[in-house]
Amino acid sequence: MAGVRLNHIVKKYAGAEESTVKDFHLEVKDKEFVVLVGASGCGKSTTLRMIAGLEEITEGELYIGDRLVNDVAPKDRDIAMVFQSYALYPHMTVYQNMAFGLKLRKFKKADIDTRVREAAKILDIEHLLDRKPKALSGGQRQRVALGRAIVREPQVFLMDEPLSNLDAKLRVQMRAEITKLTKRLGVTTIYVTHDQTEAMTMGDRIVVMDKGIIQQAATPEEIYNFPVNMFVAGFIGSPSMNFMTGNLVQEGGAVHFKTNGINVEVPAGKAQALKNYIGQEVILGVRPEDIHEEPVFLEASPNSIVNVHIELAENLGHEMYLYINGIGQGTLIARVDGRAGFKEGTNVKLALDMNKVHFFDKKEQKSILNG
Amino acid sequence: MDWERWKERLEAVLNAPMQLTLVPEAEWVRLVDEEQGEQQLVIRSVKRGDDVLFFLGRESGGIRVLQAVGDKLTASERQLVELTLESKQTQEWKLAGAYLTEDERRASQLRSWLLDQMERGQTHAELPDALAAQSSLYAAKLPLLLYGDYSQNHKVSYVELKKLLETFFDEDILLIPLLDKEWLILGSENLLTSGGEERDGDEEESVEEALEAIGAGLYEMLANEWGGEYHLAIDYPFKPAKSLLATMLQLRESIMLGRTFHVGTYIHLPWELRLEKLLHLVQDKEKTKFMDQVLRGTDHLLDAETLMTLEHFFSLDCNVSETAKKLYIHRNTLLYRLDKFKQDTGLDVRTFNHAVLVRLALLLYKVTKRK
Repeated sequence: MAGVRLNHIVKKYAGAEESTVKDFHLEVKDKEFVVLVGASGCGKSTTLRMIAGLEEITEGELYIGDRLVNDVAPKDRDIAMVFQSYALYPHMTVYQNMAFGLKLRKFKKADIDTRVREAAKILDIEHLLDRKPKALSGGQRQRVALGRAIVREPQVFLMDEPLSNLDAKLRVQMRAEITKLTKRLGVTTIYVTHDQTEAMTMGDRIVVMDKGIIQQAATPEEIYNFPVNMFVAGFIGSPSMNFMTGNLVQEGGAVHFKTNGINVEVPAGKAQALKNYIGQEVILGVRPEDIHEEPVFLEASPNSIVNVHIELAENLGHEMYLYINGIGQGTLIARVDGRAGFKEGTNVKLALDMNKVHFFDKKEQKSILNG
Repeated sequence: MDWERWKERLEAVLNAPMQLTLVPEAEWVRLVDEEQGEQQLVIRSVKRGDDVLFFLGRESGGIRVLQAVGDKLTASERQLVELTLESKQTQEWKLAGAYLTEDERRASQLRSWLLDQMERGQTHAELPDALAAQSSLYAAKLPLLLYGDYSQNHKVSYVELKKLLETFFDEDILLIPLLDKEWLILGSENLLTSGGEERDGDEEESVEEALEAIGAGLYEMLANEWGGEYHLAIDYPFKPAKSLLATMLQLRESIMLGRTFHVGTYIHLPWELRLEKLLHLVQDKEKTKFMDQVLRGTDHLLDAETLMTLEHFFSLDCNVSETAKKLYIHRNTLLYRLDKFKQDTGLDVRTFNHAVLVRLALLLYKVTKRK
C-alpha cells in the first residue's frame, strides 16, 4: 500500500482561459480515505483523472508512494478505478469481468480463481458469478465493478462518484459497504463526490474544492465545526448555514452583533478574537440546528433572543424546518424539534447559540475565528 | 527520425534559417490556442512572433519543433513544409512496414486506401474487391472508432492494442490504424448478441442499448487496463466492402461532434448526435444571432445548476417527476428552478415550443462559449 502526494498540481486545458485545477497540494496518507467534494465543475474529477493518468498534468508532481508517476503510463501506476458509469463488459460473465484484469497481467488460473472468489464472497455476489451484466440490477452491477477493482489488490483505489447512478436507498447501503470494505482491505482511497452526506460519512478527511482550488482539507468534524471560509461553511451542512450581514458594536462592556431585527451579545471568548472588527460590517453564520426554541435555552440565553415570523414550517416528524424572516436579510432556516408544534404565519421567540456561531470577514469571506 | 538532415535540406531549398529546438508544453498549448480558430484534430505548425514552429513530436522536456526563424516563409511554403513533414512520417511508417506482420500489412493497405480516398474528397467509394477479399470484408462487421488523446510518451503499438482488443472481445478483430492515435476497429456482428440472457422482467434490449453497452465496456476496459484518455464512437453493423469509407467518416464526425458539443463525454453515438450534426452546419454568425434572439442577453444566468437542471429535464423528455428523481431534488424545487428560469428569460421550458428553442440554445451555448 502507499500514500499519494500531489505537489502543486495544475491542470490547464488547451483553449481554456483559466486552469481547471490550480495549485492543488495535498498529501494522502497510506490507508487513508480522502473524499474530494465540491459542486459540478470544481475540478475534483479532473484531479482524480490526473492521479489515474487519464489526464495529463500541466504542472506539478504526482507521487504514488515514493515514485514520481507524472510520466508513468496509467496501467503501470498500480491503481484501480471505479467510475460513475460502472460499465461492465457486456459480453462477459461476472466471473470473467472480475478476472479480466488479472488475465491480462498473466496471473495463473488458480490465483485468478482464488482472488475472484474471495472478492465475490466479500461483496456477496458469489451466486452471480455465471451471470452476464444485462441480467443484473444496478446495485449488483456496482458490486461487480467494485469487485473488478478489488481483485487487482492495487496500492490506491480511485472512485469517481461511484454511487450517483444508484437509487437513494441503495446509495445509503452501498455507502456503508464501501467504507467497511476499504477499511477491511486497508487500501488508500481517493473518492470523488458532489454529495456532502457521502463526504461527511465516508471520509477520514474531506477536501472541499471550488473553482479548481482547495478551500479546506480537514476531518469531517473540523470541516463542519470550523469552516475556514463562507464557501465551506455554506457547502457542508443541510440545510445550509444561514448568513446575515451586520455590525459589530461595543455596548456596555460587551460586543454585540447588530442588524435588521437582531441585537445579540457575542461571548467574551469570541469577542476577543473579533476586536479588530469592532465598528465594522461582518457576516454572521449560524447553522439551522444552532437556532433554538426550547424554553430552557431561551431562559439561559437572554442576550441572544430574536423575534421572528414563521413563513413556512416543514414537519419531518423527528424534526421541523422553520423558514423564518424578520432578522437579517432574507429567509433563514431553523431546525427545531418536530414536536415543538410551531405554525406558519405566527411570530415566535428563538435564540441563537452564540457559542457556535461563526463570523466571516465581509470582503475576504474568510472565517475570522477559524482562519 | 533523422530531423537534422531533413532540416538541412529544407534550409537549403527554402533559403530560410531553421533550427531544431524544444518548446515547453505549456507554451506550445498556448500557441496552439492562439492558432486554433476552430477545433481541429491535428495542428502541425503555429506562429510565435515572426517565427513558425513545426510540430515534430513530444519529448520528456517539452515539444520538439522545427523553428523557421524570422518572417521568411510564405503561407504556401509553410504548407509545403507541413506536407513534407506529414509525408516523411508516413514514409517512415511505410518503411517500417517491411517488418510488419501479415495483419499489419493488410491493415496498412486498408489505411492507405482510406486516406487516399479522403484526399480525393471521396465519401462513398466502395472497397476494391482485392482488399475486401483478403480481409474478409463482405460479411457484416461492428465498427468502432477509437481516438486516443494520450501523449507521445504513451504511444500505443499496433500489436499490443490488437492483442488487448482480441483478448477483450475474445475473437479476431480487424484493427486499422488511421491518423496518429486514431484506430478503426471492426468486430464481429455477433458481439451484439453476446450479452446473454434477457433482463429479469424487463423489456428487450434495443440494438442501440447493446451498442452503447459495448462502447461503454470497451471504454471502461481501456481506462482501467490501458489508461490514457480515449474517445470512442460506435455505429450499427455494416458491410465494409460496401461502405467502409462512409462508415469511418461517420464515426469520425461523431467524435468531432461529441467533443464539440458534449465536453466531458467520451462515448459518442451517431444516433444521439443528429441535432448536433445539423447545428454544426450553421455559420457562427447565425449561431450567435440565434442565441441573442432566444436568450435575449440572459445567457449569463445559465449557471452550472441551471444548465444541469435543463439538460436533465430535456434528456428525460421534460418529465418533471423523473428529472427531480434523477437530480435528487424535491419536485417543488425543480418547479421553482424552472419558474425562475421562465421569470428570467421569458421561456417556459414546460411548453413544447419554448423547450425546443432552449434545447437548441443550450447546445449552441456550449460551442459559442459565450460565458
